[in-house]
Amino acid sequence: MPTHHALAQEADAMKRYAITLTRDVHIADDLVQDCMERALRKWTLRREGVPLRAWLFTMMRNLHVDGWRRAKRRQTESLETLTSPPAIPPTQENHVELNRLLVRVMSLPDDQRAALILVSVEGFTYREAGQTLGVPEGTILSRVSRARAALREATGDAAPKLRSVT
Amino acid sequence: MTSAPKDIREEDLVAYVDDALTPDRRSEVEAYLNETPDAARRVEADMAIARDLRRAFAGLIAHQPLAALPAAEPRNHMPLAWAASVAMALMVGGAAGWFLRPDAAPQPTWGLVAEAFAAHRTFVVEVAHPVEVRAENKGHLATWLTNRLGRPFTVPDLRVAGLLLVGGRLLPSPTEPAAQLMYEDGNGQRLTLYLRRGSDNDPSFRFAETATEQAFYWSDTEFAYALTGALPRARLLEIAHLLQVQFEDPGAPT
Repeated sequence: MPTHHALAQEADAMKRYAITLTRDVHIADDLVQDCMERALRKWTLRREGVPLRAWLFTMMRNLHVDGWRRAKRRQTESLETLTSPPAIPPTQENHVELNRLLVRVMSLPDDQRAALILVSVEGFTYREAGQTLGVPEGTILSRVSRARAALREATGDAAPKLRSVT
Repeated sequence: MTSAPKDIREEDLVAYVDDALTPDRRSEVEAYLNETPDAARRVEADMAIARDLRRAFAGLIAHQPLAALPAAEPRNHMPLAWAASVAMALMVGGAAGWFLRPDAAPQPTWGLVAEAFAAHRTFVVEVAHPVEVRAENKGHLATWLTNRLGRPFTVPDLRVAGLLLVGGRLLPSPTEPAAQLMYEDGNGQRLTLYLRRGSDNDPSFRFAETATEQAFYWSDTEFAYALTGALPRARLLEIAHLLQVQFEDPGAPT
């Protein structure tokens, strides 16, 4: 079925975005699954012209925010209970350096991290990222700018900033 | 004679890294970077961060151990039980699952096919960054891969099969650096060739498939190759043949 094929094609991207949102690989797995289930149920409600990935990411973020609210209400989960931070295995080239980067990215403010990952990893345009996160393009740009400045500073590559984006 | 920096702002430098500028503005920024080493260094650092982020996130996906597949627990709150099972099947088929035919794959090519599938899935869907070095810089790509793979490397030409080079990239693999080349046909259908050192020295074409893609793989005395795509099997095999003849066996006596 084309639906399933199309969704399967997005599985890796969904996992990446779920990690970006949850910062925990196991919670991310649950989120991907919840999102796939909902996507299958809502498939026919998809609006024409919305790219599949942006549609899925918007849905995933809503699910995440809802889940987070629920968890907060129950006071059962907090950031400290996250137990499986994303890391790549030591068999991979440059794993020390890349894992250090992952830790820094995960410690960025949520808004900045999501904007940066959508743009840098998923290749979204500012416009697509803005639509997905429900903010104007300019906001995406300034979030990416701040996220990069923080990462640059952390990697010791701080260089002068130009007049800052407002 | 002073060169005018043309009012380059923070957002220009950010958008430059993301390739989001108009061609005109892009050349203005480039001129500015040529004259401003600090800004050039900062842009380079940002590009390196973007590249490393893609590597890191690819690594998070590509090397999920098969044992980490989610267990198939029934979910009571699901109004549609079938949706849960379909979603589960997709997780298995899409995220980490792949199935070799029982008659295939002795070590070490077992890992090769899994890596090739993961790399294929990660990058063929990319719009902005499908490759690290684009076809325009084919010469640079060849030199780079020659150096990093430690073998003479020429980029195979598949135009006779109706496929144009998109470009290529270096990738981490569990052993040595691997390379991925991407080709595209007239319909935008993408194929990838994945290769790395580590071989069972078996030039015969072997077939593997998942729910969504197929691969033919083979090896020479030092390298193993996997061609992955969602094409009819006969067509994929034809392309594999074209590739094999274009790669000189780096270990063969001359």
